[in-house]
Amino acid sequence: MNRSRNVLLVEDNPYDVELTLRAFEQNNIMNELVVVRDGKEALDYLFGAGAYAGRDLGDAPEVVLLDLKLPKIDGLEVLRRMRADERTRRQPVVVLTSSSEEKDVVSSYNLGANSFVRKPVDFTQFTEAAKQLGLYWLVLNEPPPGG
Amino acid sequence: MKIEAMPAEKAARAGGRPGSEALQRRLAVAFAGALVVVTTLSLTVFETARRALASSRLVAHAHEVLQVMNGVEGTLVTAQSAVRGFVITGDEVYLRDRDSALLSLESGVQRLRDLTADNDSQRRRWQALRDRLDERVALLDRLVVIRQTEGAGRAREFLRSVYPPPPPAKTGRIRAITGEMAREEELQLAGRMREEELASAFAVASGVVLAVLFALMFTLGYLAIRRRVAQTFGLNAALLSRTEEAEAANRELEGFSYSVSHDLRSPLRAIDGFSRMLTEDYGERLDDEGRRRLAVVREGSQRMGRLIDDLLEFSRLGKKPLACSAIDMTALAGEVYRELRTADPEGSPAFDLAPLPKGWGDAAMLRQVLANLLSNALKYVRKDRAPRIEVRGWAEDGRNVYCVKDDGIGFDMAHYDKLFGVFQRLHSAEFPGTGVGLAIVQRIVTRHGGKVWAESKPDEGSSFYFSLPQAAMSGFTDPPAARGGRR
Repeated sequence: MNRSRNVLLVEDNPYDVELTLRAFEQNNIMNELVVVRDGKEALDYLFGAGAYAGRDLGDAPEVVLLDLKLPKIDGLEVLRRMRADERTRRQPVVVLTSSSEEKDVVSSYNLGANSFVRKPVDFTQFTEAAKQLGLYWLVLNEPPPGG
Repeated sequence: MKIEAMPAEKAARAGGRPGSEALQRRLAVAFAGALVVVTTLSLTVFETARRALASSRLVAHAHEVLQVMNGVEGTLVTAQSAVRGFVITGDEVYLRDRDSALLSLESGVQRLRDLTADNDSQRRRWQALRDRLDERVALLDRLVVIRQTEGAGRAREFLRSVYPPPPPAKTGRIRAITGEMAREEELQLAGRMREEELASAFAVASGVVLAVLFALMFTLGYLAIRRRVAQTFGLNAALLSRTEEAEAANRELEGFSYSVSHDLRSPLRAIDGFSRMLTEDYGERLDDEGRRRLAVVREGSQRMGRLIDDLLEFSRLGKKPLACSAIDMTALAGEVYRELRTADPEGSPAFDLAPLPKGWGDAAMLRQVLANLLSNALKYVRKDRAPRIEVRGWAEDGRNVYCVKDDGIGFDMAHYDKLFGVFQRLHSAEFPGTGVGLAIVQRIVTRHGGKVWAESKPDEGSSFYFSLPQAAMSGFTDPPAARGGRR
């Protein structure tokens, strides 16, 4: 139950990762940002498998920022497997993606996403979005007990 | 991207085939003919059956007449034998036999009269028979009286005096009459039978002819229908394959816009974000020109982001099904205007909204039409005076027309053909925009079955009109105000 209050960022685009780090930094969000580059790595991290074997699963992320378009296993599949597993069933997940195609929004919510945010092209707006996300999910929101 | 040309295509494919009217006429003739034939056929069958029944009744009648005549003869013989027995023996028992025989003789004669009432010659014969029988019965009575009063000898003498030959010869005369009657009946019967045979032969012949006709018409009708059905199915198959092609194209396009939405926006975000980081972190080391150029990079990427968004929105509008309801256009226009002013409260425009006719359509889409027109009116303003925006609406020629009029910078009608095109702009970068707004307006209004048009003079202002068909309005009378007008 010792949450480290870190944020899991599932994002394959290194520039987007850098921009997200920058936006967090600019908004004084001090939580550690754990970055994984594809869906498989995300699942490995969440379930302590592969490169993350032996990781303390009690140390669940405060929030998962999940891109949908990912190599190997896509974001919706990651979400589906998370919701199918008791350990990550209640894990807050924000879908953070480029698209706002209606089918993506609908599928995400159907699979149990807690929020859906479209990444703005304009960096000013992007920074603002990161700020709002940090404020809401890391400060206001009460996480589920025990991960 | 719907295939709009479908109806024209269909019409062209249908050309060269027998028209629907000719086909309908042919079908009507074939089926009416078949109906007449079937009716005639059943009437003929009915008539034949009726005649057969009548003829069998006649046969039965003739048989009955013959039978009754035989009975009459028989009872007469019985009566005569009884009287003869009485004359010989004087035993009264014979008289009871005679009485019962005479009784049934009388009833037989009456029956015979009823049966032959319909035929004059037979009736005359019956009268003769009746007279003869009465004579005979009177003779028998007299014989009995003589036997009772004067004895057997006198009676026999009397018998001989009346019938020198043996008595049955007398019965022969009666038999002659009954024989005649029977022959008459048989003659009539034979005549009727001949007629009947002729009628049946005719009925059978006409039945066969009519049945053949019916089969012919039925077959022709069936062939006509089958040909048409085959044509229709062929046409449908062609349309279906076109529809499938169109659907495939639509799916491809959907996939395309999906990648546009995903893959084009990511690099743009990188360009914009990293330019911003460069400005923030290294701006001090750049001179003014360096910073200006970076600003241009950012502006370009942001603008491209908006273009992509607008283009996706425009493409989405073509696919999204309309969710129609009755809309209080007055309330919607007021609401949209207030929202636009809240988002950008600069300036002090005059807004004049007259009551508008109700509209029938997709609330979210019509909201966007009003938003695009009103934001244009608020955007393309003259710098030297506060803008004035009028919104009007009226009904004409089965449609409702709505107008957004401004007194802004206007445009040259020479460029009118570009006005509603995608990415077409009539004004410079002085007025921001992607050139998709009016294209969206046109697409939405067209999908609602309406039209968009505009009038303008440079520096005097523009009027943008759109119409919505009233036909769609029939079916509701007094809808709740501004249904769907709220988010």
